[in-house]
Amino acid sequence: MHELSVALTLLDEVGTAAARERATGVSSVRLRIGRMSGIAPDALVFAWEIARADTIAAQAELHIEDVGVTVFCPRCEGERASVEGGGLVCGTCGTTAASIVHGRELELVSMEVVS
Amino acid sequence: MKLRVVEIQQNILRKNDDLARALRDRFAASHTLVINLLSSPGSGKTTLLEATLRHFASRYRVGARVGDQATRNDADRLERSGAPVRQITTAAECRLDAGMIGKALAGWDALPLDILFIENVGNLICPAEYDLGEDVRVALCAVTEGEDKPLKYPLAFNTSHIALLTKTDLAEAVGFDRDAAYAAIRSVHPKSEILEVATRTGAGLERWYAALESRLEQKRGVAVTA
Repeated sequence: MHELSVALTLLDEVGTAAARERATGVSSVRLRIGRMSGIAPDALVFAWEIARADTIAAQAELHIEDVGVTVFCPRCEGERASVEGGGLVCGTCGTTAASIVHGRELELVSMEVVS
Repeated sequence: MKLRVVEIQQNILRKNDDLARALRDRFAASHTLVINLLSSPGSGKTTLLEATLRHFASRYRVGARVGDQATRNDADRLERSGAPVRQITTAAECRLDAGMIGKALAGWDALPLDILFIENVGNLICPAEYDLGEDVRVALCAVTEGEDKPLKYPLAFNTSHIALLTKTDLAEAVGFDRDAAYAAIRSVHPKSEILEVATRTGAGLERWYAALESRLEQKRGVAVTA
């Protein structure tokens, strides 16, 4: 629901990094977005394509890696995928394992710049 | 023209996290306990806050900032408690962020407070991602909303210290399944403190107030020994 504000924040971060790199343009931006981040990748791409106009990233495509939710299961003693919509429960043995390992990511991983 | 890849590896909301950290330092210095209330629209945040402000106003300096996309109706309602209250109108934004809180506090003559309540925009998705520098995050869920709400919005309940079931006076009328609700909360946050209130009848409010007061004492204790 707040994809546009995330797109604008991302644009700021990309602009800062591009300036630091003395880039003249940005051709692509790579993100990792967790399923539990509250961000819908399609909506973020839609917002990005509007927000990027007239900026250094005007041509930059977003590449989003979708990260599923995993938890640390105390019974399996390891990282396990959780069942979607079933709480933070180990998908292997069903134990409640509410420490989230992956799925909250909202990361700017890298970008390809033109210089 | 040369193309090259630049590794960055940073949180997109890094700026919010930085601002929240600065707020947390500031609240630590003023020994202010900060409570962030999260829920869907209509879960009873404002009604609970009205009663809570009234309860604490005689003994502590309490105040509230309330976020809504439009209107200052909630602030008007809460001002009846006698505590200092200000609305934050977020317009297009579906949540409060640390920058909005920082701006809203600038020049507010009610500061410093013992307890600052922040009533977030009614929404269980977006506010969960934004740290406001709070000490205690509370996720409210009315018994009328369905027992599986925590499963639908796991992050809000996972990141909250207290899950507060509200409108329990309606539980019987709507066939609320208490065990299912507790199980849902526990499955996203096994150690969550769970409280129940019916603000209109007053049931459960004493435990809610006690939960806040013990955290206030804890904060002051830490502040004194620090």
